Amino acid sequence: MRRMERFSRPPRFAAWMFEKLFPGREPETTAADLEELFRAESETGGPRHARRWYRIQLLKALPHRLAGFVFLDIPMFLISLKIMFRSLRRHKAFAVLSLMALTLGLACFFLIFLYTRYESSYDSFHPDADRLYRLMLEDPPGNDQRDIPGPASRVLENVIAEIEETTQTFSGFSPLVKKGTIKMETEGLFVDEGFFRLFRFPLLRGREASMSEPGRVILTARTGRRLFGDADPLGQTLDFSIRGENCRLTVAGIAADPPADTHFVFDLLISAPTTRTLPQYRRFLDALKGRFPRTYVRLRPQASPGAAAGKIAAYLDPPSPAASSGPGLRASLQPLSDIHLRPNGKDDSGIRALNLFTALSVLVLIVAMVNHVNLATSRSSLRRQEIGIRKTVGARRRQLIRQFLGEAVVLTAASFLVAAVAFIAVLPAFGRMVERNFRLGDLLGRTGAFEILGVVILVGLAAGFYPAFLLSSFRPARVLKRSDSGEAPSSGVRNILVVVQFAAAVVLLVVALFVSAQMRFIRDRDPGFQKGGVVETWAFDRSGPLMKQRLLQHPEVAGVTLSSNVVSLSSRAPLDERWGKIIFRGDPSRPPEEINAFRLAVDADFLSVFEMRVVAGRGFSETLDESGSVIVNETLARRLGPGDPAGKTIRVMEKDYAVIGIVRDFHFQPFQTTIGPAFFVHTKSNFGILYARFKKVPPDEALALVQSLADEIMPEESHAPVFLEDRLSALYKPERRQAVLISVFSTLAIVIAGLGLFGLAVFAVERRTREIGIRKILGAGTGRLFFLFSAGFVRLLALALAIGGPVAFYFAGRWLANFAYHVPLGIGTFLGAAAGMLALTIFVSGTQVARIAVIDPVQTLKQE
Amino acid sequence: MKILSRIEEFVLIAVWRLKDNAYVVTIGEELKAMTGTAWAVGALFVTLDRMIRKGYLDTWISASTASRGGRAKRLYRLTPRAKEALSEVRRLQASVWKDLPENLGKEPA
Repeated sequence: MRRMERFSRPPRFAAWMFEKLFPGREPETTAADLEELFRAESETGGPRHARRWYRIQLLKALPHRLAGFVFLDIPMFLISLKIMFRSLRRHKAFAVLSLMALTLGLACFFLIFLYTRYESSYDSFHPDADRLYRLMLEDPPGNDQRDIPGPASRVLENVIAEIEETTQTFSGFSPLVKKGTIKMETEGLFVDEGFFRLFRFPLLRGREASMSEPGRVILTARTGRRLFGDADPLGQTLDFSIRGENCRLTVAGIAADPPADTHFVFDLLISAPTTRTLPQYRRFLDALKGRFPRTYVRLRPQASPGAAAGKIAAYLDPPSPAASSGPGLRASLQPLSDIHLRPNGKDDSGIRALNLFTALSVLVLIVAMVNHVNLATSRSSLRRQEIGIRKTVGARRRQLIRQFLGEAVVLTAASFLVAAVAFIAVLPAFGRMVERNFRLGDLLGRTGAFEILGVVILVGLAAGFYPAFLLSSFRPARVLKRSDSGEAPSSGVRNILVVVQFAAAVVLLVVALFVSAQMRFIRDRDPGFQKGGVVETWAFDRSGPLMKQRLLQHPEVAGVTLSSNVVSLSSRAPLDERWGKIIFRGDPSRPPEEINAFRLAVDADFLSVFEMRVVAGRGFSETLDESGSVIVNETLARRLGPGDPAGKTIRVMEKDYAVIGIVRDFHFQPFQTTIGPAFFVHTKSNFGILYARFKKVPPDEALALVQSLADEIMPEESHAPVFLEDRLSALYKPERRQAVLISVFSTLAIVIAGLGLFGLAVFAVERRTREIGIRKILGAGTGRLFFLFSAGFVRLLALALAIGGPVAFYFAGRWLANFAYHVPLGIGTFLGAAAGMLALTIFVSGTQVARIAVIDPVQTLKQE
Repeated sequence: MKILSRIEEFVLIAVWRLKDNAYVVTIGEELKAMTGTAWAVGALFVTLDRMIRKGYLDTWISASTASRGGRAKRLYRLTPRAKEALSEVRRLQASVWKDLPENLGKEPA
């Protein structure tokens, strides 16, 4: 009951804020108005919704008020502006330092902000995009996959009330397309007519309905030009080959090139009924029991995706009356805009990376704001007289606050303009790094100018807040009598801010060092097989052995081997039975053990081509009958129990194999995953991959050689030779991207911290010029002065290291924990970072002291 | 006279329609009915305050009402100046749109 009561009232803090935001209105009527609205919301959407609504209203009110809060009347504003520019001009060094820092901070922030917006609004250009979902089905572990009716989508549309319309797509596995002499590998998608009813991919020519007839294809404008040049493609035919099957397709339409911000990737759309003419592809689809097609649905307005998903699961897998049937099929509907960031519906790593970038950019912005606060307060002593006099002639504190806040906002706005230029300048480079080919308009289209303005004003206010209150608090009588000149007030607060700034820089620097150490580790670690100079290409039974024979005739080729699968998978997921399952009976008294392991069927040359070390027993031999032999890796050998594994027997797919050797553990999965059990069996057929190891040959030539040979031997298969090393290195692209961004951001944070330090040192030395002069007269040496002034900054740095160190270790540890194999979290890296920061601090503060210390004290003391 | 902005125009029309019961809540409802979108409360506050400063609206505090827990309402009413401005907008609207066809997409034959 009490709980209910609490929820039936507007949130107290928000209500109070509202009152403060509109001081011109009498609080009672404002509160009463809001409460009335709140109750209406509460009745329609419940108290929880109403409280949320209330808070959102507060947030929406902020920008409306902000504009009027800083400058209320125009003439006063103009005067403030004039004073502002005079003051900025008088303190050029301050203005420039602050401006540079804020520029860097804002440029960083907006870059990441707009990028995040872009990434999270994919596929929003479809009509009613908020009602589009992708159906995700998941069997509970331990349950067999249940059949899902192939053309499930049409059925769902009819039986489930929430669903308005559905469509299904099937991947075409990069089919090969030929037209005359032009042959190209494309991205193909099998679609039905509904595809165009759900998604906005307008046709320039032709009819959508053609997708219900077999043997029809719609080309994107780009693909049409590539295949047909200037000729009219409509009604023409082209040869199409997919997974070794061929057919002829008639061009039935031209679609506009799809925009970049969609998760659909296609050069051609093939009509779904075409699959009926491709029996092998059909069989492949059937083997997957309807899991393979992607089903998209559009819900009716206001329909709940959760309820619809529940009904779909219940329809596809009706709960059986037997209680023992266990958990049933799980269905969920994934919003369309979510698919780009979570392509398989579960992996959050894309979103986590975006969050990381956002956090980093906000950190850099905060460092820049702190920098402004520091510089503004440190020069406060220089402005005290101005403030004293203005107060004496009648300026009210409110007006002064407004003016100082205004100065900060104007400075921020100026920084923003510079940042915008910087933004445009770095955008292409940034786009290359994150592999997005976006133009400025793509980014800006998703963010209102209002929001950007809001951020700029907020940053300005936040940065100007403390200095404004501090400066406006000076008492004119005391200031003008100069009774407490010298050390500026509140050096405590300023010291805290310097520490914050340094600490943020330390965190970023230390994390960046660990991340780049890990990237070096990834590059240099021996994966357990020789990856250098090895070309990987698809090669099936018809072409593989012949290609091997021909390649070996080339003097540059050191060795060739054929295998059923790649030596190193891209998948980071733990092994499951897909990759191979072993049944092993170690102890006859116990039931046999099942082990999921990575199975590789290879020819006799595999281990030698990859220079894998056989630690016990022997490798496969060309001359012996190896059909019953198996070689295991060290991990699997350990799983097989104590004693010499050689001679033990394991069962794989209903056949017994005798262990003949143990090979050293190798990384057949990325470094994120712990090495699991793996085994090799010998085979003479069912090949899928060919590896050719080259002696020193220019990479292009090696690839061209393999490609031309493949084309000659098996022109209708598509081969895509790559260097194994390149493919493996591409697996870590997201990490590499993070590493680059983290190092850029940490560099910026250090630059800004350095700027701030420089500013502080300049002002500290200026304020203490006379003190330095007197000390020199009394016999202090330059070294002594140097030490005296740097010591203060070094103390602050030490504090920042003490605070930032553990934080950095925490974050670096979390990042490294993604990897099963990573560099140690050593203290050495931290000490290195500390030494670097120390050198920077001493250098920056030292140069300023040195500047004054070398001047004849007579000069400095005469100044008054 | 300065031409009213669209937002100002809508707010004034809403106040006029509501006669004696124009306060933030009802004005918000009226605007929603008119334009189809919910307006942020803060935007309403700011706009209403500005219209008072510009002399388009009169405002007074009502007697307290039982339905609002005994609390008063801030009510609004158009000033003659506002009525004039609205007529002006209407006249301008008619004259500006005079020659345009109903459907701007199709050229008149």
